Amino acid sequence: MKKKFILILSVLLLTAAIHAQDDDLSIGGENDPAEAVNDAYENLQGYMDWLEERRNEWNTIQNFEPNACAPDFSASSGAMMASTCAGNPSCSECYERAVGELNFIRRQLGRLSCIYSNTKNFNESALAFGDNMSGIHAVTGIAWQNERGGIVAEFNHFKQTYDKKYVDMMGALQRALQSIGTCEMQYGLPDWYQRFGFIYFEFMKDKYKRTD
Amino acid sequence: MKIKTNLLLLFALLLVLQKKAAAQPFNLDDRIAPVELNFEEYKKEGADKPKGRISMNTISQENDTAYYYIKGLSMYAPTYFSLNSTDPAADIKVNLCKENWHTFHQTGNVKGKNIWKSNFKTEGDFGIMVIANKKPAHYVLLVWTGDEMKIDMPSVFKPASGAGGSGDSWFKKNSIVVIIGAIALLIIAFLLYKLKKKKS
Repeated sequence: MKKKFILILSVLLLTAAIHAQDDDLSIGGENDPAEAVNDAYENLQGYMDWLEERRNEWNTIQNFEPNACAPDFSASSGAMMASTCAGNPSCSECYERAVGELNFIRRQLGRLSCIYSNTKNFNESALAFGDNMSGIHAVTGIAWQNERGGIVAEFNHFKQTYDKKYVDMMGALQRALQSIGTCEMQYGLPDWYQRFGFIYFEFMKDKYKRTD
Repeated sequence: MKIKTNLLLLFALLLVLQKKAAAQPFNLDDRIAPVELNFEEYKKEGADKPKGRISMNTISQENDTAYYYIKGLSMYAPTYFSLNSTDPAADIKVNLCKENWHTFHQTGNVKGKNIWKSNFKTEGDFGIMVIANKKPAHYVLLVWTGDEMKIDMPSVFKPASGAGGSGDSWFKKNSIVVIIGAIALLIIAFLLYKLKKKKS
C-alpha cells in the first residue's frame, strides 16, 4: 500500500515537473525576441527586393502624409536653356559633368524649399494647436503664451538660416551654369551664359526666394 | 574637385538646416516624453558595403501608450517601418505621426503573432505612438532608411535650333520646302517669260 502511494506520488510529481518545464518552454518560444527580430529582417529584405524590382525609382514610393511637400523641378518655357552640347558627342564629357552638378543643385534647392515649407506648416500647426488648447485652462493659457513666444522666435531664426543657405545655393547654381557655359564656349554657343544661363539663373532666384 | 567639395559642403549645410527645424511631433503634455530611436549603418552579413541605416529595437512595454521618434530622414530616400510581435496574446495599435500626437498619418494593428509594416518617403522625422491594449506588450520595432534614390528630373534644356538664335538652322529644317519653292518660282518665271515672248 505504502509502495503504491509512493509510486502514485512520484508519477504525479514527475507529471507536474514536465508541465512546469513545458510552460517555461512555451514562454521562451512564443515571446522569443530573436524570432521576432528574424521575422523583421526577413520582411525588410522583402521590401528591399521590391525596391530593386522597381529600380529604386523615387516616384514609386508613397508620401508619409497626404499633403506632403513635393519638390517642383519644372521650369517655365521662357527659362528653358538652348544647348548645342546636349547630344553632341564631342562635348558630352564636359557637358555631362556640368549638368550633373546643376541637377544636384536643383535637387538640393527642391529639398531646401520643402524643409522650409514643412517647418512653416509645423509651426503654424503647433501655434493653432496651442491656441486651441490654451483656451481650455487659464494656467495652461499663461504657460502657452511663453511657449508661443519661443516658437515664433525660433521660426524667425529659421527664416534667417534659410536666407543664408539660399545665398550659398544661388552661388553654387551660378557656378554650375557657368561650367555649362564653358562647355558651350568650347563646342557650341560662345555667349551661352549671357544668352540662356543667366535667364535660367534669374528664374531660379525668383523661384526659391522666400516671400513671407 | 573644388566644386565637389563645395557641393558636399552645401549638403552638410542642408542637414544643419534640417536639424534647426523642429524634430518630433509637437505636444504640450509634460507626461509625454518620446524616446529617440537611433540609426546605425545596416550591413548585411557578407556584404561589402552598408545598405542604408537601421534602427532595430526589442521592446517590452508596461505602459498603456509609448512614444518614440526618429530623425535624420531624407525625402529622396525610402523609409521602411515595421512592428511585429511573437506573442499570441498581443493586441497592439500603432500610429505614425508628424505634426502632433493627435493627427495620425498612418495607423495599424498587430493582434497575436503578426506584423504591421509600412513604407514611405518623408523629410526630417516622424513620431511613433504604440498603444498596448494588453500589457505587458513585447514587440520589435524596426525603422530602416535607404540611400537617396535616383529622380527623373525634367530637362531644362531645349535644342539650340528652337532657341531662335541661328538663322541657318531654320533653312536646314525647312530645306525641302525652300528647294521646292525655289523650283516652283523658277518654273513660274520661265512660263511668264515664254508667255511674254509669245505675245510680243
